[in-house]
Amino acid sequence: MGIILDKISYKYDIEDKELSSFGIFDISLQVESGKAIGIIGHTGSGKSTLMQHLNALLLPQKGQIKIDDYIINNKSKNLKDIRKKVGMVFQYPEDQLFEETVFKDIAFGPKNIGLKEQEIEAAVKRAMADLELDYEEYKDRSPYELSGGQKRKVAIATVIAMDPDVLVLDEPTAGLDPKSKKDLLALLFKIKETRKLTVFFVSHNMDDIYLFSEYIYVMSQGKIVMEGSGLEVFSKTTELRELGLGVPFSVEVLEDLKKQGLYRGEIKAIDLKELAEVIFNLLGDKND
Amino acid sequence: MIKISNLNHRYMKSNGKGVITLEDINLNIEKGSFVSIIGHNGSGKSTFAKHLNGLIVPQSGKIEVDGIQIKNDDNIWKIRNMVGMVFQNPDNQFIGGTIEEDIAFGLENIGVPGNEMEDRIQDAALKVGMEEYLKRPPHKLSGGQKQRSAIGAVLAMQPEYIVLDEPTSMLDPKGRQEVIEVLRKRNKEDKITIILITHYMDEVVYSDKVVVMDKGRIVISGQPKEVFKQKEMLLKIGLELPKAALLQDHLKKIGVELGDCLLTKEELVRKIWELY
Amino acid sequence: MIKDITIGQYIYKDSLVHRLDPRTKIIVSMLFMIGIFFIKDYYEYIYVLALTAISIYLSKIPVAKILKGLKPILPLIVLTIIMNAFFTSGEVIFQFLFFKLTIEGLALAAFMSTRIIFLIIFTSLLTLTTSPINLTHGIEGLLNPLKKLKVPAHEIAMMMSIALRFIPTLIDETDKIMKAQKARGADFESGNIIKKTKSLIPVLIPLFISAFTRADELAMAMEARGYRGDEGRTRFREQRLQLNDYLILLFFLVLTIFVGIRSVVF
Repeated sequence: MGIILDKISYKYDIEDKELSSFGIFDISLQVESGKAIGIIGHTGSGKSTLMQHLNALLLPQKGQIKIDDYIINNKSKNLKDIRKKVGMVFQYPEDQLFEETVFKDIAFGPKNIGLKEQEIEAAVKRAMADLELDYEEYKDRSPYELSGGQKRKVAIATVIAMDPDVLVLDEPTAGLDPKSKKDLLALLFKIKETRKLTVFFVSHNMDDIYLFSEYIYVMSQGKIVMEGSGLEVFSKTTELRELGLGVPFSVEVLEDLKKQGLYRGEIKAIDLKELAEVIFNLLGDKND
Repeated sequence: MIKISNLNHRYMKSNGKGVITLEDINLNIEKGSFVSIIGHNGSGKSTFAKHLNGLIVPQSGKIEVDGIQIKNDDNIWKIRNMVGMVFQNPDNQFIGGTIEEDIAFGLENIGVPGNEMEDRIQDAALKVGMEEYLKRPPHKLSGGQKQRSAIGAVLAMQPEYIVLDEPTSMLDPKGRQEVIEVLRKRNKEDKITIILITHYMDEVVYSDKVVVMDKGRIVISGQPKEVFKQKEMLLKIGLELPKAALLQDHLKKIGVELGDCLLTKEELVRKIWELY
Repeated sequence: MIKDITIGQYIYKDSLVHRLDPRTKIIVSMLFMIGIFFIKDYYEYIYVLALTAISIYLSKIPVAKILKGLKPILPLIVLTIIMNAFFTSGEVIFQFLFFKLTIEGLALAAFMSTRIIFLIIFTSLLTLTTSPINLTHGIEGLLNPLKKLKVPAHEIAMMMSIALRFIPTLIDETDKIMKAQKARGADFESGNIIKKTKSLIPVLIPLFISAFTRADELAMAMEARGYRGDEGRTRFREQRLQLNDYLILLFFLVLTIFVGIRSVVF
């Protein structure tokens, strides 16, 4: 079981070539269930277009997508099943909230996919618990009077409540302050574990991508130009920079240390603790 | 200089409860300096920013811009001319149909004669690197380009101070970098005072002064190195440390002492090189 | 689908038509509208076609772009054809219940729909070659004499230019919200008209809320940049009618008067 994209293409009907997003071309990839996949690429590289194919918001003009037993191609109908299977958290998802109460808003998705009343309540409760929103405290409040961070959580709960198997997160922490960012990411990937989700994580923050993804695809001009584990992808610093992308902090530091002739090892993405140890050993060596 | 003394602000919620958003703010902003204001969402920094050009008139306390007090009188237009402002959402501050029209909008408002506008628009666009895009409408620009032209539109009005309220929070890393570079350059070359509100710690390390706000109060204020020394305090109020400082912390734990608080990768590498 | 709307879709080119004063273009569009109603014979459309073709050529706007602008008004054209073809009395070719398709009806249908098509094409040249701001400056200029009658010319113009400026933004936003709600299982396609209308609530409410936020922030941004209405305002590129403007105005004025008199006299 898993997700297989087989040579999918989608071209926007736009003559204006200056428009940044003009589609995706001939993309094939295969993802095992339960994995966390990082997607990086500069703005307009086709990331969003690709992600919108995963739950059939856009249908591939060529090629097909297989998600478990479902097949999406240019003739796909009955899209509700696929929407239930693949949840999609857009950038600034709180912009889509519209109901009078938090409960009703979170219940919108489950209702649309035809759950019964009792099932809906259970789904809302579970989703709110997952997002660490107290059910009794929040269910009757208006989503509009919540703080930015809480709104974001409610908006994500509206997607989680549909109990998807696959979750697409498009810059889920954009615009939040540092602590809320850190907490929300940790929470989302906890939910990934407990619900055994396959996650596609789109972000511009390379440290987050490195930290949370098991496998990374790099996109540019509508194509996948690089793929691999965080270690593999982030060792190709020259290529990444040519694509206008950054690298994790540790890679930057190791690169600079190497340039200064202080470090001779391999340039790789590691977390700060490991980086500290590398530097420790470096300084220790000279004392020997 | 902008002189803020004993500034307070509260607003009434719909349920009649008063909420304090600013409490006893005292701050001097020197002319020509680069001042960053940080704090988590809801710390009052945005309300504070709107006081600096009289979008909000002080309820109590006093703000003076180059000796002119901000009050609800005709001077407020003079002050808005002296203190330019750039907002968070690049779309919601773009008034013209193209960049040049947007820059012209401010000039029209302050009564710049029509024949002088062309030059001022060119000059401002050049300063933010948007001279090739003057005829473009906003929806054909990237977020970074839109914010740069917003800065250009303010520069054209030739203010002494520019206040930027989270100008980079909706941008991708490339756009963020473009905006910060433009700001640093304008500050250095034209001596324009920059007051940058942000929650990206790596954007503030180059400032002359960092002001940390929490719950409507200024909790720390000083040079970046002084401010980021107070790690526990910053973490407690939901802020982060620059990555270099975090790494320094990790190193300290395993017995590598790097001395003074380090803020940038460059400083860090230099320090290691010295120790090596 | 909503992206097809041509109104407000200014295309920048350096052309004779682009350089004309917006007031000239507005008046010419109005004269064209009046003039075309005086046309009585089908063959006379050849002159209209020639006039339109020359204007398009001079504007350097690609013909495909202009034809695309016809798409949204297709239903209107179809309706015109049906109404005229079936409800004109004359020689019946085909009858179904009380609907009678007549030769006269067909001729009239062709005549009327051609008129609408020319109207749309010619007037879309106005918005395609005039930036929103210039267009509103033009309207403001034409309304200016009415200021003495307390007509808020500047305010009307400012409102229009901001509305035009935000059309593309709002279209993008609608698209985004629709997608987000579809992802939550919303269905905009199936069901009868009541169900379809109801299904738009999850799109309209967020759209309204964001529009209010935008309005609020925009007002603040305008105030921060020293906007306080018409008072003490200067104009970027003060409009002055050039020789071209006078010539073209004169040409269209004479043409319209000629067509008008001719249709009354003959």
